Amino acid sequence: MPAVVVKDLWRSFGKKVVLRGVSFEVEEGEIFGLLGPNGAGKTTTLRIITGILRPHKGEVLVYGKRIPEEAEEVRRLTSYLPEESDVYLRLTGYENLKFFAMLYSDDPREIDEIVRKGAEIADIGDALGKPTKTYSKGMRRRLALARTLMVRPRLAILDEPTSGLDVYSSIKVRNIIKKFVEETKASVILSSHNMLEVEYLCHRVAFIADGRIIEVGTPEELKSHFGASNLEEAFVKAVEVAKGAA
Amino acid sequence: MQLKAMLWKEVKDLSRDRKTIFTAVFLPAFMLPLMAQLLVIAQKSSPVVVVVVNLDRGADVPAFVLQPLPLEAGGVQRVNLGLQVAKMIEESVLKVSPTARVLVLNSTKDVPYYNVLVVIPPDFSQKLLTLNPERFNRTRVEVYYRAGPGGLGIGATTIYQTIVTVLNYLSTQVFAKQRVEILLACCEVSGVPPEAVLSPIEVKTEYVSVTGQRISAAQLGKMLSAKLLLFSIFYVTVPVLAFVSDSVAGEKERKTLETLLASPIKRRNIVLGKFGAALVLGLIAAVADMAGLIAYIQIINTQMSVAQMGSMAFQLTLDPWIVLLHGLVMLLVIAATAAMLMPLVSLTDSVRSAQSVGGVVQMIPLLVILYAMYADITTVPMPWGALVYAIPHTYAVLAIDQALKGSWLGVVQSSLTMIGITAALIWVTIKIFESEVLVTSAFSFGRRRR
Ligand SMILES: Nc1ncnc2c1ncn2[C@@H]1O[C@H](COP(=O)(O)OP(=O)(O)OP(=O)(O)O)[C@@H](O)[C@H]1O
Ligand SMILES: [Mg+2]
Repeated sequence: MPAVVVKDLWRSFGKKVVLRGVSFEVEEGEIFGLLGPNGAGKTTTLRIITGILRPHKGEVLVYGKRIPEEAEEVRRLTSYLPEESDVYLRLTGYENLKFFAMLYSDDPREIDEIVRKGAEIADIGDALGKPTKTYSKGMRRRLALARTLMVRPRLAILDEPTSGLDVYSSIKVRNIIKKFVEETKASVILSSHNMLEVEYLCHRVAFIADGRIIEVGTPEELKSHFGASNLEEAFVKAVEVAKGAA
Repeated sequence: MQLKAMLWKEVKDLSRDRKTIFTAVFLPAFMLPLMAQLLVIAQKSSPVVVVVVNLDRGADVPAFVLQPLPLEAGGVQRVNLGLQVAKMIEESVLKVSPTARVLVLNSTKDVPYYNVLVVIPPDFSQKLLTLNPERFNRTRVEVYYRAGPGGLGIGATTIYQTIVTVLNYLSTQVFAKQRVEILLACCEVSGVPPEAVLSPIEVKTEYVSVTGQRISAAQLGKMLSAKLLLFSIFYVTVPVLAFVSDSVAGEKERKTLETLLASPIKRRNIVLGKFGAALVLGLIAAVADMAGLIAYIQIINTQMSVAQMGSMAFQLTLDPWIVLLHGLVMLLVIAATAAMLMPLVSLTDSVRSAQSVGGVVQMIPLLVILYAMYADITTVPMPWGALVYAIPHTYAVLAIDQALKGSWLGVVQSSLTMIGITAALIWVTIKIFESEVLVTSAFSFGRRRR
């Protein structure tokens, strides 16, 4: 059974149609990349998978559970790192972790365990006891990622996890994600603009443009399909082909 | 557990929001005392000036006529009644307002700036002190009241009224009585009390409560001081708006909301946790407000003269029930305000737009309070009445009124209604949080990220 099944999602805002039949599947233990230009509908797709938004048509199954009917069960299995999301600035890093741990567990010992895991992932040392408004952007993003992964979700949904981070922070974040999947065999869906990141992290990639999935495959498959030397080139060609078809 | 977590986070967050805590404590605790202090300062810095111009030339009269005015010596005497009246006015004025200034002059030339001017005519003694009924006549004292600049002149009004009262007393109770006695003696009528001629209609006045029971002046004062509580309804809501907009719209603005919405916490618990934190803030504000009320009454009673506050001041009482009721009502007001703000604020996407929307909501109770200052809130005619009864603050006003009537059942009813409206609004908020409007809200159009 695939971890996630996304079938023919349609969604519009007012008159603007944003998703026009998005479908894909994600296997357990797989890192799946959504790659697409600004406004392609990546965030909208991810929001529908988390149950924050409703699709106007189509369906989503997460480990066999249907969105939005079984959204509550799905939320226990998933964890979401929204685009540009931040942490609570008046709380310390530690308190931020504790709050989210408390939402996932009732058992104080388990909460402590989760928080310890979070601290380990965030790896920001003594700063954890200080209010997060004193953190740098990279530290906050790492804390946010730690908060997302520490609860050991079966599916982690990461919307542009490295956006706005410098090279070193980005590498750290990527390694955290990679290690997480290796350790837990969980699935990850991530969106990105960064081809390098996608090539390094993702087992499979979907190109999305103008609300449609135009190509899906491993980075290798996509490159050879378009006769491109790198993913960037393949992406540009895929978009051109899609435009020609439309 | 989720609810506990939410409450824990919100209260922690709130406790570090100095600005909001400051307004929650400072505004209620210091606004009323500050208002009182300001009145005291205003009174001291611009005293009421009373000028009495005594043009009276005096008259020769037998001493016994002068009762009950101070008697200097027996026999026939040159008396300046005007001067004695001027002294009486001065004493009464200073009793009412120790900070007032009273000047007695004997010419209309070079009269300084005054708030109240009294002119006693040259024939004052002559006309009043005659014992011959055939020469009974009237004399005219002129009292000018300057409705000029410099505040509302509450103090000057009371002083002006005091002076008029003194003159009326002298006219009806002293000189008229004397004349009636003389006339009765002339008609050889005896055993008739002068009042039976002077005022055959006896007018008896009494303060009664709404339920028709006799109340003392002290109770009346209590009612008036309770009306002051209405001001608090307005300013205790200020920190609530700060908190609600920060806690609800702030989560959107600072991009923490979606994480929360995607977590396993039930939407209901998010709303209840935030509302619970608003109640904690409300409790702080209510306690601060009770302290402020006590300080207010203390300042008014110890530092303010009667004249400044008009008829209210002499009976401002510190009834523990009123103070307690005040605290309770403020807590309910804060809860209701939070519940009114939450659904609206959850549709905005920034703290700033939340605050401007909330500002409009805050004006609504102000209208109710203004109306209640002038009239009984239950008398609003129907199309408006329905509107007024939909506003939870109306019931705060009603509860205070009912407490003063001694109708505790009414207080409970009003309080329960307020709690009911609050619960309904919270329910609406939960529905909003359960729908996706929260993420796609109308107020966020055109403000999408780059
Ligand atoms: N709440 C909303 N109301 C109106 N339009 C919206 C809303 N959310 C998204 N859109 C529109 O939907 C389209 C897709 O947005 P989405 O955020 O899914 O794109 P994206 O692929 O994540 O882009 P980016 O790479 O810039 O993050 C955009 O044109 C956006 O303007
Ligand atoms: Mg996006």
